[in-house]
Amino acid sequence: MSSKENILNRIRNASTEKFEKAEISIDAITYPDPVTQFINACKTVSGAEVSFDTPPSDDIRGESSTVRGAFGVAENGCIWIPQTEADRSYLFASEHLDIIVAKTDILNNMHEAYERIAASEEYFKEYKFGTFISGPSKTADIEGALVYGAQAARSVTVYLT
Amino acid sequence: MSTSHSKKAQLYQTAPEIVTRHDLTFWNVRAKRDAMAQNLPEWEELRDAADRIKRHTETHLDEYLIQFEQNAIRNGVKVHWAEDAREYNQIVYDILSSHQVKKVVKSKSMLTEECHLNEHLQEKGIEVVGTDLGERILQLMKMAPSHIVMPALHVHRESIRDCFESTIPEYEEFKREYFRRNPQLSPDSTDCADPTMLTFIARLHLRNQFMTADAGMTGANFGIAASGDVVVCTNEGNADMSTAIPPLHIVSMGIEKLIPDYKAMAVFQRLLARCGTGQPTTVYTSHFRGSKPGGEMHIVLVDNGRSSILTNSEHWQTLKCMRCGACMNTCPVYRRSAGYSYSYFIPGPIGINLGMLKDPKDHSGNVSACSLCMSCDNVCPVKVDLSSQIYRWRQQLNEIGLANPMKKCMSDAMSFVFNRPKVYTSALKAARLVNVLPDFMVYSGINAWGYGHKMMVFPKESFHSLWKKGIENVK
Amino acid sequence: MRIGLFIPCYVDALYPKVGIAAYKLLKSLGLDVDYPEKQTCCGQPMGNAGFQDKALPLAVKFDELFSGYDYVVAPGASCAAYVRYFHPEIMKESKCTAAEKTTDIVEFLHDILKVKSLPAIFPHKVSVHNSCHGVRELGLSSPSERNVPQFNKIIDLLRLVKGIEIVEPERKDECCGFGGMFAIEEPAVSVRMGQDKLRRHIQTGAEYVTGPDSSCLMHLEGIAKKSGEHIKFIHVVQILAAGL
Repeated sequence: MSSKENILNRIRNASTEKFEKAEISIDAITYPDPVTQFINACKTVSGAEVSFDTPPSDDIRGESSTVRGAFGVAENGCIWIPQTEADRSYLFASEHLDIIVAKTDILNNMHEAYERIAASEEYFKEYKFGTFISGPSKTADIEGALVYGAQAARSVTVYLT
Repeated sequence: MSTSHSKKAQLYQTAPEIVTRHDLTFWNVRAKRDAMAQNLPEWEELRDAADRIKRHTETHLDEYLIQFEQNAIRNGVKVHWAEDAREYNQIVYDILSSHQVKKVVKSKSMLTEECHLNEHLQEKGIEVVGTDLGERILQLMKMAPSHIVMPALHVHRESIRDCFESTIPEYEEFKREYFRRNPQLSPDSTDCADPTMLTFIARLHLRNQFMTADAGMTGANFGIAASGDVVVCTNEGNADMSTAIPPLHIVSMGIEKLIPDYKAMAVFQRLLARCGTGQPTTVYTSHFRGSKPGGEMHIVLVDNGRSSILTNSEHWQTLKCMRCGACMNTCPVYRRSAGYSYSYFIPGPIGINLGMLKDPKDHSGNVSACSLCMSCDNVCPVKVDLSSQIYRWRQQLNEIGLANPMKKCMSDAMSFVFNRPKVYTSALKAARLVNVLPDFMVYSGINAWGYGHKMMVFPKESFHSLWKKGIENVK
Repeated sequence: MRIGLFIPCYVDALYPKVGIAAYKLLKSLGLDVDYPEKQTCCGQPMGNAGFQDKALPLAVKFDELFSGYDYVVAPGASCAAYVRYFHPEIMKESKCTAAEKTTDIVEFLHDILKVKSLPAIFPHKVSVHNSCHGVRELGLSSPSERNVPQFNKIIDLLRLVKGIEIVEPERKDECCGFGGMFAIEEPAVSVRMGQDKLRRHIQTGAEYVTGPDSSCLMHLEGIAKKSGEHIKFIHVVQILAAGL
């Protein structure tokens, strides 16, 4: 028998009580003004700058790169970025990242965010990768001291349009 | 009376200031977690949901594994199954060698630690570079992780500076670059152990590694059965750097990492970082559903004892664990004894349990490392009954012949006395003898209580004897 | 209401005054209090050490002695919790009736009797020791790990005492490191935990440390005396019964 069959058989033979699938409905946090909360989260949680200026063109690639996010999440400053071109390395390797997101695309929380993703296979259609980004890369691996710019982008500006 | 943990923990106490620093570092993480928990109204609801999702998924793992595999294959991913560490290491080596890989960059994965993959690949001539900053520090220092989320938090900045200086050939060059970019800083008055500077040096060092690697490896925080996504959460972006540049991506995933769908994913995404590091999210929550154009993605599903845990009615719930590390951060014993006092590579409450499930003979020495304070039960996002499980292991040690003989002897004596009310009553009188023993006898080391306590003063009469005499008259 | 007074073994041997205070306080509240003389120990020391089987005869005996009372009340949160939550499991073969009626004196006064006034006067500053099993098994206070409404039944009762000043240490419900056999098996970590806890109690500026578990207090007192600290220790029931 293959390893796969051996593993599956051991699982099937386990006499542990089986638990039924539970309906998950969380009474999750919402905000009177999700955009304001999103801006706060970007600044305080993520450590991103927030700008209301006209954003740079979204095809800039280099030391500083620009990308368009699909939507933002007010509770934690995350922005969903589905991969839309063959090479995604600029998202992480650039020193600075500008992310453009529309004010009308700010959701309250991650439940709404994943509902939106589940409803749109488009996000993964071609490139099979998507990521939530919340601010610049950071680490606290040395004695717990927070440092921005670990391996990926050292700074992030969120352009709200 | 000593267990392996107690001996190592006692040695650790010989430098009390290091204990203080370690305790405070991890207490601060717990305090940040508490702030997250207390500021989210639906916190307990989320824990409850996570518990129910995991109970269901782990007890239907066969169905979810098949669904996950089918979706991954449909997405163009190659899926492999490994029964144990040996098979896993072989599969990974075979993939790498068939692509003539000389260097692998990898993000942190406790599974590769569990299976000793790095050592295996390095013996076969493949260079493995850990890209999580903490993991890289440990690799350069040739040390093992002391924590599963913040593996090098116990290492002091001065040691890291010394290590970088001696192991990174471009150290001086990177340092000059740091001062070139920060002209406001003077090289003469800057502390070279400054975390910002050390992180910058590591950044440049690791950039070179990403650019020259032939393959990237990641672990998996979650596998989503309904879509075949592998989800990896990091703050540094190292999993993304490891996979965005080299063409080959290998995911190592324990079979227990599955969750059903995106609805479940939302619950876990909200809990993981809040519990693990006290942040509302990690910086990156990346969904890998297939390879880059022109590349290849492989997923290795690893059992290595997990399916057997499922058959253990008292301990199967350890499979719900998502390795957030919250139980370690809150554990008063972990904070004061640190990772190396435990014999298993995962320390703290979850590690005590997983170690026993791996091999009771090797890891029964950790079972003493718990005061049964139950704080871990209350922080666990998936409600693993950690302290009850440790209590149950203690009951089983005697059956499997691993109980501490001294402790057994004490329990036998207690049992003898407590089962005989008359003997108990006269023992109460005898106990007063302790009061008149000279201190040196009590503190001589025979008596563990004397290690840090002054012996208690027994009163002239017990409650029992006062009751008999007529308690109403006692002042 | 007939009360069976359960005096845990170490309270019996070391802190008879705690037992006396409990008895007098319950009597002063008009209750019929009895002390079954053949009681010894609830079995927790053996259970926590890994010899729960040895706790079985003690649990059976306990049930036999206490099943006839309306409530079993103990000045000892950890022991009360062991009886309530572990005896039914230990005695699964036979009927266990006393366990569900067993309470710690703090919860008994707070939840069952709902005491709203006491004559006690205690003009001192006390630091409250929220012991683990009191917090996380009996729910005497809200655990700091959880997102639940904040409450503390010990403090609620102490507020009925005249002249008292009540404080809590930093890390208000972190373990003091006693843990029964844990203190014997892991003395180094146990003592370090105790030293840390003691320091935080002392930092409040309190004259007394008070709590519902004499075992934790015994541990802290042993450490305090060895290091020459002068802070005093008193069971919460002794404060509530002050002047009786």
